Amino acid sequence: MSPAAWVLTIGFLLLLALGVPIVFAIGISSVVAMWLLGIDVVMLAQRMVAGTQSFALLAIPGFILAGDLMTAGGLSSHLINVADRLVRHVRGGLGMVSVLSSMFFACLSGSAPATTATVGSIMIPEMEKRGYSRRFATSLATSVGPLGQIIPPSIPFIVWGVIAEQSITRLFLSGVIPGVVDGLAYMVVCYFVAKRLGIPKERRASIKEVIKAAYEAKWALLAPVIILGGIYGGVFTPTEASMIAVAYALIIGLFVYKGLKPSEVLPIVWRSMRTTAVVMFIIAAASAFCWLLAYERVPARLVGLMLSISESKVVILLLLNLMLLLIGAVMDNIAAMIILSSLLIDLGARLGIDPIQLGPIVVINFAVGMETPPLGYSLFVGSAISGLSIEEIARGMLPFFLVDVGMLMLVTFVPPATLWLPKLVLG
Amino acid sequence: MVVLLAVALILCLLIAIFFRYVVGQALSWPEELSMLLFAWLVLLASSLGVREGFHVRLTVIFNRFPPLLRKEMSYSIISLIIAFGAVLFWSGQDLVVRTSGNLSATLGYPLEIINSSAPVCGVLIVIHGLYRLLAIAKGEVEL
Repeated sequence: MSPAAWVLTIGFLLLLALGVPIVFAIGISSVVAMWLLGIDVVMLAQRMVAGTQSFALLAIPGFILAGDLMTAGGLSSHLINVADRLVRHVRGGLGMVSVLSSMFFACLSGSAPATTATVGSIMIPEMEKRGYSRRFATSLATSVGPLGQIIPPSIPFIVWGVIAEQSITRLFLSGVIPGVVDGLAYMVVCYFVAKRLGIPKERRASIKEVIKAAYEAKWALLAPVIILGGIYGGVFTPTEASMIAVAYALIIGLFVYKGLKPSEVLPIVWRSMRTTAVVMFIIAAASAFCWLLAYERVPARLVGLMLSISESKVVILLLLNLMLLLIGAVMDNIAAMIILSSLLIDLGARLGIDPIQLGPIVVINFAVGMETPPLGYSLFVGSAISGLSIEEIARGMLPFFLVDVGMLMLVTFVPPATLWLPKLVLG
Repeated sequence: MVVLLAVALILCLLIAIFFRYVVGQALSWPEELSMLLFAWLVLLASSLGVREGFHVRLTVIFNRFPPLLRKEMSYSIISLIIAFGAVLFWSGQDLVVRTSGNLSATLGYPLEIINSSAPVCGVLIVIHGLYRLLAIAKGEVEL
């Protein structure tokens, strides 16, 4: 390999390991590689500005802001109420409430840490009060976070749609079945844990209570119908839908549920824009980095290397999953997705995987990386809410992680799990 | 400033939606204007991230070093970031000079308006980086 290729691979990883922020590890190794290759440095600014110029990416600030506004406006606590009335009487019901409410919340938000924060801050103290260990409650809240990225709308699916040039709507739909299967399997884990701990069942909510909770939550329940219905019906683009979600969250939060005070709006906007900046700056910087990687033919060489390991498609797919899980554990998912995109797309094409199935394989592997140490945003949030150390939460997470691995096998080896729904809805 | 840009961006897209679905007449300017606002929003907010230290990094190995060494490492990392800011400024001003006189596709605004976001971001990274360096020296923050 040429010196520039070494800088882009080993040099980049070294900077990352030493604690340089990811976006600057990307930027600095790109600059050094450009200097080694004698490429005009103007390319850096040019690629960075161009990296922000995609209309579809405007859905990212939209969905982040809408999620933050909905949480502040009280929509999420209404959703948790509905989930509580529906499943609390089953054994392990309170755990299932966490799972179900994060599935509801995932239909409003596209972010894993936001899902963990919203559900965890309410459900962890609640579960602890009823006899669950704090470790179990926190591990559960951390593990359900990735559902926020698997169930649409989803920020990584938007990014993958833009870089792989696939329909974002189709990718959104491909995540629905894996997300629901994953959630149901989590509920089964909750059942067995509650049985072992001997946690008593809760009183069953009457039909009247269910209807009352659902009625009170009607504006929150209507939101995904409008947002996702509009996207799937082909009425809005995802970017437009995200902006409608912002307007909807503002109106409901300020005037209907009144959980949102006018003075809070601008600080929330600033917080969401910080999150957006972190994601988008990585996208912008990675666009220069990827160009250099391709120039040095690094992805093509790695694909050749991977294909030379085995003749069997199954072995290579298993290796691919393992590689993505490991990378997802140590890397930011958006950065990893962009850097590896050309390698993954090339490999997928050579293995004959449908591009729409490749999307969820990549996105869900990296979503699971949100809950795994050392770098997992959901894990950080879980630790911040509960005060438990990362190591302790990670130990409690093992059963949920195994469920996720099972779901990844489903996504990888059973194509209809991801392809059937997009085909049904969009033809 | 960032919040202002964000509000303008959202309004711009909502106006576009209103015209397309309620008035029934699609406007052509909001798409390009919103992407211009977005470029500025991202590059400004990111440079602030250097000052506030909100850019994501891996701390698992970093935290295992002894505190004194960590301080030295923090200085080196911030200096690298400042150097990157300087290169981005240099690269960006070159881009502005080379594309000056060109106009954007639909709105016809001069391309300097969007391309100057890169050198400005570079300068701001340098300034915020120096500020962060001072904060580390005073022992207020670690990196």
